[in-house]
Amino acid sequence: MANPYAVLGLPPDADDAAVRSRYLQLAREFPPEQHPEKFAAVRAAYDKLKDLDSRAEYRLFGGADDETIDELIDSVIRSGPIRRITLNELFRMAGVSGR
Amino acid sequence: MARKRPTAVVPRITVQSVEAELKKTEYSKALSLAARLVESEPSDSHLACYTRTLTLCVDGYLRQGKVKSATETIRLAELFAQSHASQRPAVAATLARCGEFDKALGLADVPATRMHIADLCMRRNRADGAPTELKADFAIVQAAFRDYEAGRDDMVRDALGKLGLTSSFLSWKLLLRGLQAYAVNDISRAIENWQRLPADGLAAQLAAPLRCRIDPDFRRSLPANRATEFDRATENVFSGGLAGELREIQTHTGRDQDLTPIWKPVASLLPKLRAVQPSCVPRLASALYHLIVRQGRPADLESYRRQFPSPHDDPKFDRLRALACESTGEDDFAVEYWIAYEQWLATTPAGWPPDLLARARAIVLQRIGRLIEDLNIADQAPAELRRAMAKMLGEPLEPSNFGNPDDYYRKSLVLAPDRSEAACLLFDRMMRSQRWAAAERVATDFLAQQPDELDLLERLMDALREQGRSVERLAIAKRAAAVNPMDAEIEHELIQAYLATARWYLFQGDTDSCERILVEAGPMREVRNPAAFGSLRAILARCRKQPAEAEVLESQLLERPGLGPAAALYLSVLGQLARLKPAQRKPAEQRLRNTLANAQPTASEALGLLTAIAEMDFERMDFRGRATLDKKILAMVERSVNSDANESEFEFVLRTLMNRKNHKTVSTMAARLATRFPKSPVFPLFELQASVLKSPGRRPTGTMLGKLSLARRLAEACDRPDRSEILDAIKKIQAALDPFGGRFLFGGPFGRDPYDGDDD
Amino acid sequence: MTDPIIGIDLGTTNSEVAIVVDGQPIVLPDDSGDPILPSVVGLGEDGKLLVGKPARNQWVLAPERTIKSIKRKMGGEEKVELGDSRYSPQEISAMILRSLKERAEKHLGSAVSKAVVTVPAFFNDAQRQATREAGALAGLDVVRILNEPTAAALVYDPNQEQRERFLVYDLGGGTFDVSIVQLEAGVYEVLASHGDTRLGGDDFDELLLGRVADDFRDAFGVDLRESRVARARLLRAVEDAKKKLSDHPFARIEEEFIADKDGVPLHLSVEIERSEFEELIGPLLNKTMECVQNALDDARLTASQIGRVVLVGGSTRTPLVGQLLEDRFGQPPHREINPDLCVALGAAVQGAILGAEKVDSVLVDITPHSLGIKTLERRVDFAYVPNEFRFAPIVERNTPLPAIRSEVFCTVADNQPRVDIEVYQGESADVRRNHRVGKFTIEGLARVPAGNQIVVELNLNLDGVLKVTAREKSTGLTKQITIENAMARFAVEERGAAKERLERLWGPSEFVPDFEPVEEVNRVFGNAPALDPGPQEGQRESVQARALLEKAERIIAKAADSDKVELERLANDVRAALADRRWGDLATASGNLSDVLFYLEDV
Repeated sequence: MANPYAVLGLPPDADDAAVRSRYLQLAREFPPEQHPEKFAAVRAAYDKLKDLDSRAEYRLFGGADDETIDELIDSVIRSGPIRRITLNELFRMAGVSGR
Repeated sequence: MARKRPTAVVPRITVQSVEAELKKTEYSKALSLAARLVESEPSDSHLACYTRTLTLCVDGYLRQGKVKSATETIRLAELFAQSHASQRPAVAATLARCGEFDKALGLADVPATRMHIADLCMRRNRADGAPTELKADFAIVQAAFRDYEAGRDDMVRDALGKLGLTSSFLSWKLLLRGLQAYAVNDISRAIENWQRLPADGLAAQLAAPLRCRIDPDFRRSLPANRATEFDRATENVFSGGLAGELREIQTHTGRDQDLTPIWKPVASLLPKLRAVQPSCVPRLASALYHLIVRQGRPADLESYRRQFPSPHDDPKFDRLRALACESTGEDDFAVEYWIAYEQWLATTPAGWPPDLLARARAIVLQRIGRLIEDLNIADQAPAELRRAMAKMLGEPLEPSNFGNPDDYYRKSLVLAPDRSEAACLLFDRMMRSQRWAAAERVATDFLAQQPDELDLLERLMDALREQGRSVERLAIAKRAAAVNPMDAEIEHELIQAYLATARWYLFQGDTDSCERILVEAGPMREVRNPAAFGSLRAILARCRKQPAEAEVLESQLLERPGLGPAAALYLSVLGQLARLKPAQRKPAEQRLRNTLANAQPTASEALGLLTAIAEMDFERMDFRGRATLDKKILAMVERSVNSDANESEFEFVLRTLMNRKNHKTVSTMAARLATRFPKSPVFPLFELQASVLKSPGRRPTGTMLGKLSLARRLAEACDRPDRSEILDAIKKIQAALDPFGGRFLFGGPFGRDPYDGDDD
Repeated sequence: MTDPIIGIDLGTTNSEVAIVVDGQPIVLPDDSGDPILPSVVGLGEDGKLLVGKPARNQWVLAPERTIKSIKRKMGGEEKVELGDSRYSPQEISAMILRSLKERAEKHLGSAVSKAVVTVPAFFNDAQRQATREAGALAGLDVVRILNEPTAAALVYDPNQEQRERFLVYDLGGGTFDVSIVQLEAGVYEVLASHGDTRLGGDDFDELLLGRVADDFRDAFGVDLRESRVARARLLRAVEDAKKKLSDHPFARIEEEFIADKDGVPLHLSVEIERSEFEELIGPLLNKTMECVQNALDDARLTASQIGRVVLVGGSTRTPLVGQLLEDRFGQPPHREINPDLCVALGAAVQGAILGAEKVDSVLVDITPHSLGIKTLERRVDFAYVPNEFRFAPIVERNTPLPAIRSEVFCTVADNQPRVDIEVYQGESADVRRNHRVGKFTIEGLARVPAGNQIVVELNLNLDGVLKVTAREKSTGLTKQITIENAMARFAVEERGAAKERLERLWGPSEFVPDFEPVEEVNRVFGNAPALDPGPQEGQRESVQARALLEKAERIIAKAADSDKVELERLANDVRAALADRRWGDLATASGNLSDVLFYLEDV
């Protein structure tokens, strides 16, 4: 799960009204019917920031599930620069001896 | 009937038994079994089985480096194929894969054999010994791969165009075209090509890991372990090895695991990560920060500091230490670190909007207060337990010296005057130490800011009730009911407040105001507590010198089924408190004496009386003869055990007694009821609860543990709707019998990890 | 017109169908102009299937051939008897749905295959599945199961900028629901839902019937409940009396010759006062008020924060409902939109939202039940038997959909090679009291000491389709299942048989909709006679075949000689089939050719 401020595209000093109106805007832009995954992410971020207490709790105690090693692994794989797999790499991946 | 003699059982050889040996890599055994299978019946399936066994054995021996055995097996295969034409293609394939090209072609010159020859050439990276026409295509494919790897896709295309339908390298053409598509993210085209790869060829084997990533159907067809292996392999190639190192770190994340081994891979990973994906460095730092919170030790923090700068929000790692101490139960250290962290927050660090900063400080201060309260509870533990703990820890337990939790709650409230939690905590502390007026002030101050906060309105009602300030209490109850008219509990409080206020006016001699309050309460509320309201109305009539009306009211009340005893009690007590003349009170008191002398009261009569006296306790109604009356009531309730009531009525009675802490009566009655209703888990449970609470801290006896297991057995067998609540209660008692309190560990097939899920 | 999506309110007592026309939802009436279809199914004397009014009318005379209030049985195993056969609740509901479908087809003049069907918010997974199954049996693709109170809220104007909170109090014939819906800037958010799927106006009727029958028995010594026909007459009479009591302080029940005793006919004639009726139903209404309170608590709101209270469902016509709500909320409830119709209207609105590319309003619905897995709970000391039935919720109730939540669990045994994941729905801490929705096993776990972490992720989408993923944290070993709502428990062959049985029962339809897909053509050619179906049938195939042949010629020109022969042979097969208009052969030949061409094309 990414940083909720980043998901909603909000600055760290956003207040209740800013969070709410941004959430509504994104809900209209990415309705649950048409964009279920995007909406789920928006909603999760909104729940973390929706009022002052939530924001303070998030700042103090949250973030543990913002970054997990899992997600890091995911992103190093996804954004890795290599896409053109060589024949030797194919052999290595498949665990076939030779070459 | 004649019995057959048992015959010796000869294990029948089947294809399955051969497969089983192969699985165990018992190759020679598998071969001999398969040979016997063919001997016994040379059916097609048996022949195929033998061929398959030969093939797998050759592969297996080669893998094990047993060249001689492999060569022998190949010879065996050749011989076999010569006598069985149907098996020639399969054996030829094996020969081809072993490099015996000529023999293979000699046995069966079919496209499949040639494909296997081509595959071996690709694997060996040379084509010596292969037929000439294969050599030419081999050169084309080799060149195409070089072009592909250099990104010259046009040249690849031209080269592959030369490979026709009959080429032995057709599968390599598909593999390469799939790779090209994959490189430009044309996933469907890649899948289309790879789907056509012959399953027993090398190209299919090489494409499998990538195909597993992009082709869901293919992935589903694989065993889960195989798919995971492929994932590992591709991940490493894709991330340039980063994923593997991250996985290595991840294997050490988990409950109770030591983090020490992660720092070496972290150190080796960091420079690469900085070079390739610098944006991941702070993310790794954040992940490790939280890992230390969950499972770290002080040394881990040092390792962390060597590798990473301090986080913006926790420059001195006070918060990290505080959270880590909380998770290991070292609350006293946690308090110290939180205090330090709050002090840092108080220096208005950059990057915190003012409102968020104030709120964060308020939350931390409240948390400190809570922790100190918990510490103090440990300090108040029984002396015996404290001695035992001191012995375990090797030092005496000192009361905490972090100051008074009240102060932290107050400071928290100053920073966040609209947060009700701190106010409630503060209020509850005041009430526990019976500082009613101080508690009232906390509530009033908060309500001045947030007039509709129900948590505080309800608490304020309690404080006012304890102080006997009924009129104000009623005003607050009305306010609460206006905020949430739906709330049944508030409605109940409101009714009690009306009653208390009406009584208060009556005892002051202000009969008009008493009447006014009763009218205001209205008939809808009166029916909710007929005994209390009815008796109040009757006494009011007596005070107003309207004896006839009082008589009517009284007799109406006393005649209502089940209400009699409670009404008698109310009439007698209210008469006394309203200072009626002895003569006026005499009939009521006589009635109460008669009620209490009833040798065979019913359970519902007992319950009515109990409820009434409990209500009087709660409302702090004090009167002469209170203690004796209580004894007599308990004696009468005890007698009701013989009455003809059902299980649930008795449960009510016992529950009410438990709430009033009449443990002795409960244990006597429960013991009797347990024999009367042997299937109910509730009565042994009551008996046990009462005996635990009668003498807390006593070591559990065998009888008690026996009762506990009896109750559990009965509860597990019963089908009551509150079954799980009963089991919960049993667990709580179990915990109470355990001198160190009930700490639960959650397990599974797997259970919830107590260190997880704390963050939300 | 593109495939319209109709909205259906499948109620306990009544059902309706609605569509959106020019942006406005309308309920479709029957031939006599009545929008309401009684949810009653019966067999006529001639064995013909009756749905709606005729079935309701015969109920008094032939209760054994008539079925009402089937909705209350949805999701259960119990079958009902109708004539000589036994039917599942899905099948009976399908008959009602099919009747509504035909009504819509008649109005639209075209086939209808998609629908939004509403259910009480508090229906559980099994009940929703059963509703979907009913749709499939009626030939409807249920594109969305929508919660009734949410549907009702959708009818209110979405163009307000100001935040508004509704409490929708939906008391139908057989079910009760309360939902709190917030509307702001075009976004409808359901904040909380509560309810009772077995409480409704039918219970009022039963109470009233019980009272009248008791009095009659006391007076004449005859129990009217013992005769099916007398009971049916009485029930019909008390239903009417109940309706009358909505507008009058008292109602009379007069039924002549309702029974006889020793050959003497007995007549029933009683008067019921409204206050008497209200006393009877008071406890039931109090139960609904508790649900209202629970919903408010879940939404963390108080009565004073509710902007308006909306009444839905015929049973809310009982004045006491309005009165109780007004007492609690300090404002009169809204009944502007016909409480019988607004659910169907809302379903049609949702259908339009789903069907349209552009979306004016957005609906954020919630799951009214928690979802989680079975876990084992073990105490430190081993004297205690571990509780293996602990429910660990992962998606809590009232979570907005789609919901993606995960929790970490641990293995309990050293070297534990596998774990079973059993997924349950419900609120009890004991899984045995919840509803099991699925199970799978993840095997091949790493051989490590107990405490191996497994991440279980639940992904619940708007359709109620649940994806469950279990992942071993250290190795990434993953297993996933998808628990589909639709058809999971209704075996395929059983479904086929049911469908067939329904077809037989249905008989020839009175209205055969014009299904021919020549609408476009007719528009172009005016009223020209329909074209000869032959060429039309092969039109697409021949165009495709020609394109394929062009491609083949291009490739053959470049191909090696050894390949050319084979390619020409395949191409000729295609040409021949095309020339002879053998459409079946053409498809095969084209497939063969394009399959081989794949190896040679250089895209």
